[in-house]
Amino acid sequence: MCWAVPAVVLDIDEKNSLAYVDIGDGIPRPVVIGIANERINKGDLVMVHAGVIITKLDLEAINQFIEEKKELARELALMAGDDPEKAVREVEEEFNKIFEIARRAREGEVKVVKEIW
Amino acid sequence: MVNQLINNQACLNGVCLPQPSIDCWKCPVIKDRINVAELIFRRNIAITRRLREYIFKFSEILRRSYGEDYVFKIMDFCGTHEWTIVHFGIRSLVPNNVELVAGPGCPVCVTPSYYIEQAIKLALEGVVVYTYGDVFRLPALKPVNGAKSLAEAKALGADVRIVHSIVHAAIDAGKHGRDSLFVGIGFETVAPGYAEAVLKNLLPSNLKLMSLVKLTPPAAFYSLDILREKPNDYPVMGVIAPGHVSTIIGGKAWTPIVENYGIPVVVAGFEPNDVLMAIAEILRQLARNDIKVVIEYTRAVKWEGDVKAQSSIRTVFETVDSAWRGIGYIPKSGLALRPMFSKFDAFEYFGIKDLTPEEWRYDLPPGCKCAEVTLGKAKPTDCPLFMRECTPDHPVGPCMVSLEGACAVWARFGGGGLSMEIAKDLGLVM
Repeated sequence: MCWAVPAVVLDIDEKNSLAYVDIGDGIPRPVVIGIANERINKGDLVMVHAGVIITKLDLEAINQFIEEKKELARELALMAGDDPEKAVREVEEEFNKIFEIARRAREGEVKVVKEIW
Repeated sequence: MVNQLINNQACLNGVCLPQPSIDCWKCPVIKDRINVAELIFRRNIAITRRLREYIFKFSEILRRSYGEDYVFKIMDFCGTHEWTIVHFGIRSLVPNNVELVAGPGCPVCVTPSYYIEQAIKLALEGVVVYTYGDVFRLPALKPVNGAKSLAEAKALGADVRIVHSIVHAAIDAGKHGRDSLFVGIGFETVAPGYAEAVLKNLLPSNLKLMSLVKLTPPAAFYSLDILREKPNDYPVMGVIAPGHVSTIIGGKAWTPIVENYGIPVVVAGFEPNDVLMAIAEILRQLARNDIKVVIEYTRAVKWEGDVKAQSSIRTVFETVDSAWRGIGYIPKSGLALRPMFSKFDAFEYFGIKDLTPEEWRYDLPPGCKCAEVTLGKAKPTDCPLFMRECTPDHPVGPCMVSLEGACAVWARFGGGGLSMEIAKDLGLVM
C-alpha cells in the first residue's frame, strides 16, 4: 500500500502533530504528521498517504535528480557507443519540454493534467 | 510565502519568465508546483529510451551466462508498483527473459474476511463505521445478516462513512458522539499516523481503532520462501522494494533479503522511469555479481528511514502473528495496540474476539486465486473467475476491489496483453 499524493504544507499544528495540506485543488485538508516534526515546514512538498505525511520530498534532490539523469544518460551513451553529449542534450530537451508545459499552464493556456494523460 | 519561495522578480509579479527554467518547480501557484514535480519524475522519454537499451544490453549478458531459456523473475512488493508497471506498459519494454511478478502489496487483499464480517455486524447493530473507500466494497466470505460487504450494510440502513484518513474520522466522530469504529487497515505507511493519533489523544472517546496493520518485510520473506519451494519454476532473482513503506522503515529493512537469499534489492519510486531504473540496476547487479540493497528513490527514502516514526509505532503497537486472507498466519507480521492504549482498542471496547490460528479457516470464495496472485504464484489471468464472474464492478475476490489489487489493475489496464500488442505494432519489441 504505497499509493501517495504529493501535497504542499499550508499550516502546521505542532501540538497535535497535525498539518494542513493542499493536494492541488485548493482545499486545505488536515493530515497527521507521521514523521519527525522537525522535518516539516510550511511550503514543503510532502507525500501524503491515507491522511499521513510519510515523507518530505527533498527539493534539493529535484535539482540533483535532474543532474543525475543527465549523468546517467552520458554513462549509458558511453556504454552503448553513442555520442554522450547528444544523449545529455536529449535528456535536457525533455526536461525543458516539462518546464515549458508548466509555463503554459501558469499562463492559463493548457491544463497540465491533460498533457500528462 | 511567495517571497520565501521565489527569488526571481519576474515570477514575483505573477508573470512567467520568457524562458522556462529549473526554478519553475518553485512556482507560487501550488497546483503547478505539484504538477511540475510529478512531471519531472514521470516524463523523460529520452531517459526511458536509454534505460531500455541498457536493460536489453544487460539481459543479453545474462542470457549468455545463464542460458537461452533462463527467465529472470523480478518481484515487486507493492500494489502501486504493479499499477505503474501495468498502467505504463513496462512489461512490454523489458526483454522476454525478464519477467515482472506482482507480490504481496495490497493490504485490502490480505485483510481476513473475519474482521470485515465483524465490522459489518457492528455496523448493522448501529455503530458508525469509518473506513477507506476500497474496504467499503471488500466482500466478506459469507453474508452477515444479509450484508456481504460494508457497502451492502449501508444499503440496509447501517451508518458506514468513507474517509480519507483517521483525522477525518476523529473530527466527524467528535461531532456526533455515537459509538464509532475505525477499520484501520494498511501497511507501515499508515501505522505512524495511527500511532500519532493515539499518542496525541486525537481520537474522541467514542471512536475506537480496529488495528489491522500488516508488516511488509515478513510477507516478503514468506513469499520468497514459498516461491523457492516450487521446484519446476525459476526462482525470484531480484526485488523491487516498496518506496513509501521504506520512507518509514528505511532501506536497511531489506538487507535480510540480500543476506538470506543473495538477490539484489532496489528501493524504487513510483514513476515509470523509477521502475525502469530499478530493473536496470537489478540486472546490472546480477551481471556484475555485485549484490546489495540500493535506494533509487533517494528523493524520499533514507537508509535509516524515519526514526521518530519507527519509535512512535513501537510505543503504541506490539508485533503479533497475523492472519493473511487465503494464506494463513505469518509470524510477526501484524501490529496490535499495546495494553496501555486499550481505551482506544475496538477489540476491547466492542468485545470482539480476535482471530486465533486454530480458528482461522481458508477465507476466499471458491475458485478465487487471490492468495496465489498475492504470493506471485499465479497471474490474475490464470484465475478462472478473472473478468468472467469477477470484474471491477462486481468483485468476487478481494484482489479485484482495491486500486492496488493485482487483479483490479490488470482488469483496468490489461496486463501485458494489450500493451504488448501495441508495443509490437510500434516496433518496440520483436
